[in-house]
Amino acid sequence: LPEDREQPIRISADHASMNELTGVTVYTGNVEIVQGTMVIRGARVELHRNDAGVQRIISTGSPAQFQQKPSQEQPLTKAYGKRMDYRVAQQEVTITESARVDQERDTFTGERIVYNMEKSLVNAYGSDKDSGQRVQMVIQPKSGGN
Amino acid sequence: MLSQRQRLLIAAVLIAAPLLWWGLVTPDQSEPSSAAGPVEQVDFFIRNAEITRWQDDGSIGQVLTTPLMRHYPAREEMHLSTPEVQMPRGDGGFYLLNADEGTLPDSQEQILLAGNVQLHDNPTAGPGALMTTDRMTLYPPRDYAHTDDPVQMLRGTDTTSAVGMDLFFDQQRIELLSNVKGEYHVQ
Repeated sequence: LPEDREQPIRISADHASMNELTGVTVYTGNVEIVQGTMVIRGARVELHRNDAGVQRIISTGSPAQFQQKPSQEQPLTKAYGKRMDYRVAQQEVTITESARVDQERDTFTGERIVYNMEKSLVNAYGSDKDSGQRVQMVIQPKSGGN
Repeated sequence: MLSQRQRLLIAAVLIAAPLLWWGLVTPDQSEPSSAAGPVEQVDFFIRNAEITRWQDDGSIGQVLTTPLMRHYPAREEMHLSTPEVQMPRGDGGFYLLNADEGTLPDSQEQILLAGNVQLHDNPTAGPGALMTTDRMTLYPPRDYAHTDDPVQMLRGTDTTSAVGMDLFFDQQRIELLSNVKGEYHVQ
């Protein structure tokens, strides 16, 4: 939801390693991050913090998972990938390595997907290499002409 | 009529009986009663003590201050009242720890802090963190501290809690060992 960004970020995990010199805290073991309706899950999560607060959250897993409710009317948007990079100020999640986004009944896959949480926009990118992964989209027909 | 001698005899008996009874019943105060147990002996104490430990390279390794320090020879340890410990950080600052009481064994290998243990990370810039727990053992020679107890950390409005912690002073690294929960407020 739009107001998700004002909510506190709540984290739970089995273990955490805080490095006060770098400001990076690494959470491991059943890591779950909740901010309003946004939920990120992963096996290992890096939280980057500076004097201004939390700047960035990098989640890795097999796969790491993301979900958020774009608006009251829309269903959950879900994303999966081995690596997710949530930039808090920009409200953007960059998903790489087996990236996939399910938005309503549509599905997007690609080498890299950037999901803009404010506009619920999905930008999917293929690989630069010929043999690499191409962008694939499955757009379901909208019933009732909407 | 009773003779003078008989009256004296009767009076003596009347006086002796209560005196004898009183003598038998009231315990002898001169020896401590066994129920209280032997009072532990302190062979020396120091008021307003400040103990500094230096590293091999001459830098300060730890500064311990306490208003009262008592040495118990039987236990081979010191008891510290409201101790305060300064441990150097990697960036030149100091962590500051304090507690209700502490124990310093004669080996000086560790310091056990107990009761309202507080750790202030005292950063050179930015909001400082305050960590609290019930007990913590410091190992100054190894720049390391550990607790198995629940810990709470407050940094500005952000909070973190866990059970069990390892702290590496020189590396400024904190390992939270289980049950980690954090709440961060986004600006």
